[in-house]
Amino acid sequence: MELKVRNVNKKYGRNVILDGVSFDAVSGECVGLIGGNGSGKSTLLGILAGVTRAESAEFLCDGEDLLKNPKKRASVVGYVPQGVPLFDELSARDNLLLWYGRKKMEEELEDGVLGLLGIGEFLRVKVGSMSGGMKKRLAIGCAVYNDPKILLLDEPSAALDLICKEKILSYLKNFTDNGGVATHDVGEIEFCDRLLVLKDRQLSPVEYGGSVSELVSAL
Amino acid sequence: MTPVKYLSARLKRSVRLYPVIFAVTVLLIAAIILAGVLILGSYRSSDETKKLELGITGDLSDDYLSAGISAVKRLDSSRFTIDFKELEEEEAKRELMDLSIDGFLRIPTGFMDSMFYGGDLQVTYVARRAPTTFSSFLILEIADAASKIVTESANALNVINDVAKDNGLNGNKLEDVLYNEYLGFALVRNEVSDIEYIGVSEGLTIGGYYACAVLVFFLLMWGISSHGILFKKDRSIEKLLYSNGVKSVRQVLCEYVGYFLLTLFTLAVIMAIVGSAVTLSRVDTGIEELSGAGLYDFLSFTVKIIPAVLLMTALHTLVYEALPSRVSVIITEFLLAVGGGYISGCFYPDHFFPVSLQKAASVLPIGVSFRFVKETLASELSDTAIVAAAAYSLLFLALTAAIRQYRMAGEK
Repeated sequence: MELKVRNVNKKYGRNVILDGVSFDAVSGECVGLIGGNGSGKSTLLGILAGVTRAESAEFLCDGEDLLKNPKKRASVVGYVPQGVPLFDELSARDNLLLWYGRKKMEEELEDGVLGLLGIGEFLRVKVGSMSGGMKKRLAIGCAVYNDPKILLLDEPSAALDLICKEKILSYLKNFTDNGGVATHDVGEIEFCDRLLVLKDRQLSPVEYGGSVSELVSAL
Repeated sequence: MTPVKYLSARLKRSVRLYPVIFAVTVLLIAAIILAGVLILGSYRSSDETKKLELGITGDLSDDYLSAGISAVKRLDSSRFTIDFKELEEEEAKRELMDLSIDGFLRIPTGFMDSMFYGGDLQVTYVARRAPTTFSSFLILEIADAASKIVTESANALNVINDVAKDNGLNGNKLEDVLYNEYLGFALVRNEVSDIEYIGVSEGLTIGGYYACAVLVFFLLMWGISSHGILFKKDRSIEKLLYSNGVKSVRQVLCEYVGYFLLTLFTLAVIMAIVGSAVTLSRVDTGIEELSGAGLYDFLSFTVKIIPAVLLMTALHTLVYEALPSRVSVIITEFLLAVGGGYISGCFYPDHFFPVSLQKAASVLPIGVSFRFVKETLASELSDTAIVAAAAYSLLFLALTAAIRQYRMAGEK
C-alpha cells in the first residue's frame, strides 16, 4: 500500500495554517509528526480523517483519493482524535459495543487488538473512573474496530504512564508489522520510522540522531 | 457505529445520569410549586378581603336607573363591600383584565323602556373566569337578585288587579291589560340579567393560566437540570463519529431524540404523580379547567403538548451546542428561563404588559410554546400554534446541525 498526501491547504479566517503540505508513506511505516503548539498537526490529521475540511487536499491510497470517497476512507482509515472520545458514564465494555459486534469484541479481547491493548483488564470499569492511559487504550481500541489499514493518532501517548505507553507502542508495532501505516503526533520518537516537522505551514523531514535538543532547534 | 447505536448509547447514558437529574428536577419542582401556591394564594386572599369593585357601562341616562344605582351605593349592606364605577365599555374591559374591577354591568340602551314595555333586553354581568370564590358567589347572587326583582314584581300586578276588582273598577278590561303586560314579561324571559365570562388569556381562568405557566417555566428550567446530559466537556467523540460516517445532522438528531424522550418521560412521571395525588386525595385544586380531571386526563394532556416539548428541547439543544463553556451555558439557560419566562407571561398574565411587548413575546419561541400549552388546556388549539411550534423546532435543530458542521469543518 502506498500513501500520498498532496497539497494540503488550510486556513482559519485569514490565518494560513497549512500551505501546500505533502508527504508519502508506505506499508509498515510509522510516520511521526512533530511541531510546536498550534503548528497544525491536529488539523492535518483531522483533514486526512475527513473531519476537518481543507481548502484543498489529496489523500491518495494506491492512487485513489480517500477524501472523495468517504465510505472507502471510513473502512480503511482509523482515527484517534485528541481527547477522550468515550462516554464517561458507560463502562469500557459498553463503549466497545458501540463499535464492535459482541462476537467480534470477544474475539478481539481474546486474541486481537483489544487483547494487545490490555483492555480486558478493565472491561467493566466506568470510563469516568479510568486513568488517562486506560482511556487512551480504550479509545484506540474503539477507533480500530473496522481493522483499518491506515491509523491516524493524535497525541496517543500524551500524559501516559510507562505501562500504558508500552501497551500502545506494542500495538502500533504489531499494526505496522502487519502492513499498516501509522501517522501520529509523536510522543515516542524512537518508535517512528520517519519524522516530519511541521513548521511555518510547511512539512519537512527531520533526522533524529538521538538528541532532543536537535529536534527542538528544528522546531 | 450506526446512528441507531449512537442513539442507544445516548439513552443508556441518560439512564445512568437520571438519578442525579431527577433529584435536581424534584428540587426545581418544589421551588416552582411553592412559588405557584404563593401566587395563587395571594390572588385568593386579596380576593376575599378587599372591597368589590363593580363597573357599570352603557346607557345610564334613565332617571329610575340612576336613582336605583345611587340607592344601592348608599345602602349600608353594600356601602362597605361594593364600589360602583361608571365607565366606558373598553375602559371597563381593560380594568377587568388589569384586575382593577371584579366585574361590570353592561346596561343596554333602552333597557328601562324594555323592562316597562315588555322588551327582551338584558343586563349583562361581565366577569373574569375565576375560581369559585366568595366574591364570585356574591356577584352571582346580586345578578340573581336583580333578575328576580323584575320577575317577581309581575306578581304585584295580580294584587293590583284584585284590588281594582274589589273596588269596582272594570276588572275584565283592566285584567286583560294587566295580564297581557304580565305575559309579555313572563313568557319572554324570567331573568333580565345574563352573565358573560371573559378569560385571563385564551379563555382560561387565573388558575388554569398559572398551571400552564408553571409547566412552561419547568420546561425552561429543565435546560439547567439536564445540564449533565447536554453539556459536553470533550467533543472528540463527535470527530470520531464524523470520521466513521455519522455526520453532523445524524449526530444532532440522535442526541435530540434521546433528550426529547428523556424530557417526555420526566414530564409524564410528574403528571402521573400530580394526577394520582389529585385523584386519590380528591383535593379541589381550585383550578376550574382541572375539576374532575383524573390520571388519564393528566397523561393525555402530556401527549397533547408534545409539540411544545419538542420546541423547548430543541431550544436547549441549540443553546448547549452554540455556547462553548459550562458557565456561559448555565447563565444563558438561567436568563432564558427567567427573562424569557417573564416577558412571555409566566410570572404575570401577559396582558399586564404593553400591547407591543405582548405581540413580540407571542411570536418568540417561549411565547409560542406557552400559547400552545394554554390553547391545549383551553381545548382551543389553533393551526397557527402547531405550525409555529413545528417551525421553531426545525429551525433550532437546523441551526444546531449547522453549528456542529461548522465546528467540524473549521475546528483547530
